[in-house]
Amino acid sequence: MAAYRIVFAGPLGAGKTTAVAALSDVPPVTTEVANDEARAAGKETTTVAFDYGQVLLPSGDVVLLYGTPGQARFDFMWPIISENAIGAVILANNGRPDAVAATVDYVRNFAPRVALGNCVVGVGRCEEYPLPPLEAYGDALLEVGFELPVMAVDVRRREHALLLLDVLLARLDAARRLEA
Amino acid sequence: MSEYSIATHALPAATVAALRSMLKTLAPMLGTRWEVRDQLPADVLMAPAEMLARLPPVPRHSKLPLFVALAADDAQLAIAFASIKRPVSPPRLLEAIQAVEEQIRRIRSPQSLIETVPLLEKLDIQAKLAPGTLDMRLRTGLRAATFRLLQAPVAASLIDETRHAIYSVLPGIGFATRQTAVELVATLRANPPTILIELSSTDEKALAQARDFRPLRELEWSFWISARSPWLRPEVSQTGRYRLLRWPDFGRLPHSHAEVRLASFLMTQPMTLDELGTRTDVSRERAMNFLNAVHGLGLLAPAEAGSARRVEKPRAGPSISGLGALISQLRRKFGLTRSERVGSV
Repeated sequence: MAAYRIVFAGPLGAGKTTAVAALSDVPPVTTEVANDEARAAGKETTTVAFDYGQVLLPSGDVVLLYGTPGQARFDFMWPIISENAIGAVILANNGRPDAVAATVDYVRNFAPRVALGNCVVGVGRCEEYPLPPLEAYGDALLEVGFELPVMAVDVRRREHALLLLDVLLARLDAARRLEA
Repeated sequence: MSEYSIATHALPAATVAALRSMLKTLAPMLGTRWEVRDQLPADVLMAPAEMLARLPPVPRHSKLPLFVALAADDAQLAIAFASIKRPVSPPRLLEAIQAVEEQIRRIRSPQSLIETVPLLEKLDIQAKLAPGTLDMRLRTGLRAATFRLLQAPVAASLIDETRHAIYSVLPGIGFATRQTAVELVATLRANPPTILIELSSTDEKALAQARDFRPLRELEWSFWISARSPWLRPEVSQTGRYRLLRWPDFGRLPHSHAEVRLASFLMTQPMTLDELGTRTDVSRERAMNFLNAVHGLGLLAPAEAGSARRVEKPRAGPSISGLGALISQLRRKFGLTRSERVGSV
């Protein structure tokens, strides 16, 4: 039985917990406590360790889903939970003033740790906060050498969580087939 | 034979004679479309206002003959479609004639202002619908009408044969529809008969206030992605090698797994149309639709475009060579192999 990982990374309120729950076969483990930064993040609770879910496959293999802690003080965990990951979903909250810069940071941290630098960026709350436009994320990432898919999503909708997974898998598959 | 006719009732002979004479005077404006008859049947019945006032004051503007009153003042009679203040003069007569002519056309044939063109199953890319055809109502197929609007947007609504609106376009603002993105793609695919109606400025204002509008590029994407018998748009070459400049925003565009797959390959490596179909196992038609659609978004570029960009080579990570089975399993589990469209709206 082989175990793979997919990492969900992003700042507070970006939807990591929701995205993991959308895909997990088992009730995800979520370690949340009252958010001492609730006012700033608009959230009652926040993840203080990580979110954990599982996707169980017929072959017996399992894909472990990890949502990284949002606070920077837990960044020591990032290398651990992204080891041997096949991809990372970077979730952004377009309502935050530092959304683009934060996304670039997350990509810089996680892309080197996942297969082929396989990341997809999902930007939430674009309907309520139409600026910055999605192109701003793509341009900022390109400036630092990352050419990644960027999409407007609402991970409360399961089809958007599946879209992010689909894109991750499609990128891996394309690279694998074109290498062959 | 004249196209329109006026019968008179209870008018002095001199007035009738003057009426005939004035119509001749107005021939440069009216041509010989009008004639004066001694009696009904006719399109218009002209009579003194005091005579018409004796009739029940019920407007009858939707049937012939239309009543035109000759009146001593400017008072309007409910039953009369138009009034001419005495003494009748050529300008006053002309004004009334032009008003009744328009109404007569509507009464004779409610559809008469709709020009019918053949339902186009495949629009020859060179055969653009002439701009003049959008001066009136146009009956055609949905795809042909959409193609025309994408070429040169005008304020217009498209309605189906049951008179329900499919979508409306306001240039510079976007398009509005009650359908979801996926439903719109399906409707475009079905290509039903439709009537394109140009909107008046009043209609435009009302529509702009009443509806939320989406960018026209989403309509363009839906149009191209839904073609059943696609052709490659002339800007895209059959043999040229292309790449994607960036991923389409599938979060907001209707798509299926096939489009995600096509994008992933075209982002990884420049390809021709043939290569794209072969390497992705997606049909040529679907690949063609995709190239047309991403071109419409401004995302398709010749292979050499962007070659100066510095893209970081992924550092060593887990090997991907053994991931084929995992990818297949995950796709099957989550239904990511299906061809039906999903959408964000």
